[in-house]
Amino acid sequence: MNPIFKTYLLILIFFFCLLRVAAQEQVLVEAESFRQKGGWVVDQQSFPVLHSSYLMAHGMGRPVADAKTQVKFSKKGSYKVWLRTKDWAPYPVGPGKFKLHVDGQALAPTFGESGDGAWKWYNGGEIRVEKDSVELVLQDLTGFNGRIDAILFSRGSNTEPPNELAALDGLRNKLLGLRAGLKEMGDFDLVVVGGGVAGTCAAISAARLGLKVALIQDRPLLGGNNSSEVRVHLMGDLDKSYYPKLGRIVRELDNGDPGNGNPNAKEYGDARKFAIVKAEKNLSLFVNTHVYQAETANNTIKAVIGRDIETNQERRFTAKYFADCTGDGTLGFLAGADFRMGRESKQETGESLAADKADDFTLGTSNLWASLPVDSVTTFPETPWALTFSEEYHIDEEQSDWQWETGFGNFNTITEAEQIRDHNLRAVYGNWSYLKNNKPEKYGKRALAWVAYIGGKRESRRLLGDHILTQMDVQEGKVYPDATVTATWTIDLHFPDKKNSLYFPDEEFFAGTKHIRVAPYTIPYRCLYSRNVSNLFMAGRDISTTHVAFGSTRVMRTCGMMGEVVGMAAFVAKQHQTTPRGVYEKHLPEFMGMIKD
Amino acid sequence: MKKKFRQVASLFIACFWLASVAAQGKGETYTVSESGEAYELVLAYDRQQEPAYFVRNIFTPVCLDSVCKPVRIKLFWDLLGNYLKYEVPADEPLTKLDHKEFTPEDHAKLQGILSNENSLLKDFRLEDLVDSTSQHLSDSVDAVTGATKNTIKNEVIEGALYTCYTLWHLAHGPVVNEIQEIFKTKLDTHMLHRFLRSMNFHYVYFALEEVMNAEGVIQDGFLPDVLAVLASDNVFAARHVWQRINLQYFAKREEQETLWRIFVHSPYTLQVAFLKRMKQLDLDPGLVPRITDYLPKLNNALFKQTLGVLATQDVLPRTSQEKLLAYLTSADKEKSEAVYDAMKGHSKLSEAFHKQLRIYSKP
Repeated sequence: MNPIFKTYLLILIFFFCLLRVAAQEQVLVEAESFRQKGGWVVDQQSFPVLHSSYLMAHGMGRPVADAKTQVKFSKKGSYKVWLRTKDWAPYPVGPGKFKLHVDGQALAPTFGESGDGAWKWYNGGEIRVEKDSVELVLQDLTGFNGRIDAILFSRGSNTEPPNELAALDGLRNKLLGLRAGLKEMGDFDLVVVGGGVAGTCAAISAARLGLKVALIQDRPLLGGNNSSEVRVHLMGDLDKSYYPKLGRIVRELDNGDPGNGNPNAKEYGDARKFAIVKAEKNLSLFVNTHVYQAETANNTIKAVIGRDIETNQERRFTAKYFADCTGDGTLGFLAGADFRMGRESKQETGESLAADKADDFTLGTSNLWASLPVDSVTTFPETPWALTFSEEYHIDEEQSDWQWETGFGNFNTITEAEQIRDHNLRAVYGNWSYLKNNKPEKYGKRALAWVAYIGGKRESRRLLGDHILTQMDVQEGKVYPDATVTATWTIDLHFPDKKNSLYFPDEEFFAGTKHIRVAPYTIPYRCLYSRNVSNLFMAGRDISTTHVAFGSTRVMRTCGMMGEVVGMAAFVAKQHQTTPRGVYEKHLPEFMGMIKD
Repeated sequence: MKKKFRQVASLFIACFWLASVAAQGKGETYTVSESGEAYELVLAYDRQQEPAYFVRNIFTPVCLDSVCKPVRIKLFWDLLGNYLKYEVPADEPLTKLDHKEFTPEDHAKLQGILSNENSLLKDFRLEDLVDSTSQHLSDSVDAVTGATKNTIKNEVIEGALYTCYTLWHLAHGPVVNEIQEIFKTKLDTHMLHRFLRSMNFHYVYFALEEVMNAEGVIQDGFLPDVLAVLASDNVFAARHVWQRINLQYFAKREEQETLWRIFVHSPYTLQVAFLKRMKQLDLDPGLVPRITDYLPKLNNALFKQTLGVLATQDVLPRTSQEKLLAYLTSADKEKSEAVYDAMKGHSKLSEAFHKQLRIYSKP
């Protein structure tokens, strides 16, 4: 071919491509950013997997109110519509059906019933946009947890949007201007990531000692497993403490014991926790913010970046010290902290209660639920997509307790958190459907009052510190020079209930346990900071223990006291411009003096 | 609708059964002893003169130390000794500590407590449940201390702790062995047939154990009953049969046709279990096209599992191969990949199929 002709041809192709790109117009709407949520709820629990929150119709079998929003278009014309969703219970077809209406017109497909359990883009057909702004309405058809991640309007291209994560991140970033809109939230002495009981106590403790503290929570409520979204009661004793000073903040947050899964949300004291945090002048609270990135240098965290689980606003926080109170050890993981997940072997730890072989087994996650009496007989649909129950096997209960639990190594509690929650829902709804349709004399005049869509997670990563607490530490009651929190809960390692295993092999959702009693013992401070990330503390269920010892340290009053200790340690560290390890190595008498005082 | 019909039907059957049982009145009385005391246990027969259930009239003091109250009650068990229900005379109702009569809710709760063979009451002694230092009969869980109190609270009726405890131990005590001993003398082939067709799942499992050996071989004459269990609504019993039954019963085409009919009408979890074991069958070439025709109705997980069954077949009929080939070349990437993965090792496919497998490139 003539070289000049060839050059002209290439230039022509280049301009043609440029025109095609320029002609393309894409508008991305994240479902969690809908202005009016109606009865739909925001779920961020699978952010580490999906890199996004999503919207879910959690109606316990009754269609929820529509979610609505306006979307702006800079160019008029025909747009292809894509919805990112899934069939959450493809056995063979799930119940999470919903429609999308664009300016009052329902798109032809019904979503959520594809029989495919993977998140992906679904073709919604084509719409004609003649105005600057159109209204989107999500209509739930069943109340059974239909869900949607995002909607993409695409003009000038019929290509399916990417499902591969990196490409999807790129698309989100480009179309939503995520990183470009990042806000600097300031420089703090201590950034606490995770607003459960441990994190809230850590933040309050440090703030009261004069540190400038940011508390970042990825839900709208504080309290984590003790919030009204999860409803697990606080366990572990405060009155057996070696150091009576510890536990004071936990006591403030404690709203009494309503048991597990109480149908009355107020019993869990969400407002009390907020009021206590808001009263702290040195403490800035950032709710709805999921931390998903850590900036590090020389094994030190410089900053963390979080994303708003509704608006997708990105926020950056810098600090001298950080505390991982996420439960999952999320921050430690992002920063490259050493961690362990699963069970150690007997040979490795010398613990009599350890597994014969190391494995991935973890305690499970609970989605608690409760029913209440109602005036007249109510119905509940058949649930062929749920777990199957019969006269032979069903759980004859009006309300759940801790035993309703999925995990046990069948699922990874971080990467399969969504599947775990969904398995719990299939157990709850399948069993409730059986009770309502087969035991009308007992359950006819009862209705589901509440089912948790946020899982109460027990175990995932354990970040490793300079000391790893073991069964021997616990049972022998060793008191190290850096002994801090006093723990009292039994070694409480759940396993699948035997009968449940018989009926649901590898799909267990009901737990048993054996409480191995312990005398009050202490947790060394060295379990509360990372051994390889120099400015990272931890408090809560992700501290440095073996799986067996974790069985005792994991309860929330104990975790709250760990938070209190971390707040004090951060204070000492700042005073002496040292690291968490420096507090142990160089300032232990002063630090222990604070705890004992 | 179907479910509703089944419920109405089973209610009708239950009423009919009770009416027929009540109508006759024939029974055999056995005298048995418990803790040195003799009592009468009656085996009641139904209208067809078949053994129906066991019943015992009880007049017992419910006591703690020296404080007692009398209880008159009838307890019923099935033929295997599983507790069924209780009845109390209208003029001698059950009462709680404060002499208040049991409410309908209390009765429902008591029935629930007595029906739970694994109740926590099993492992507790009465003395453990109450505060032994108390001089008064409190009959209340409030007298129970610590963790026990909370654990036990759901297992008893407030104000009737001793009643619950005493009746539970009567319902699940030595009488169960006595019933089983008597039952052994009544067991025959006819009863095993009855049991396999029963709505009582205890009967079904009992009979399955009797008629099926460790290799899953079934006693002569019982195959239709066992297949009826496989096709029944009780997904757990059906799965139990499928996991144990010897596959020799599904070697012929008509037997495989029956199996496939059951598969198609089974719930999802059972379909998963069916497909896992169907790989071991040599399917009749006449059945295979019906399976490939069914592929479009399956979700991706079952689709892949079914391909696994097809891939283990030595010979696949031409029509089935054509259907599979169409998936291999379709735009549905997941389906084409699943067919490729399943069939790439199959040696007896058509030349066209092999050619397509060779040029197939994974998405």
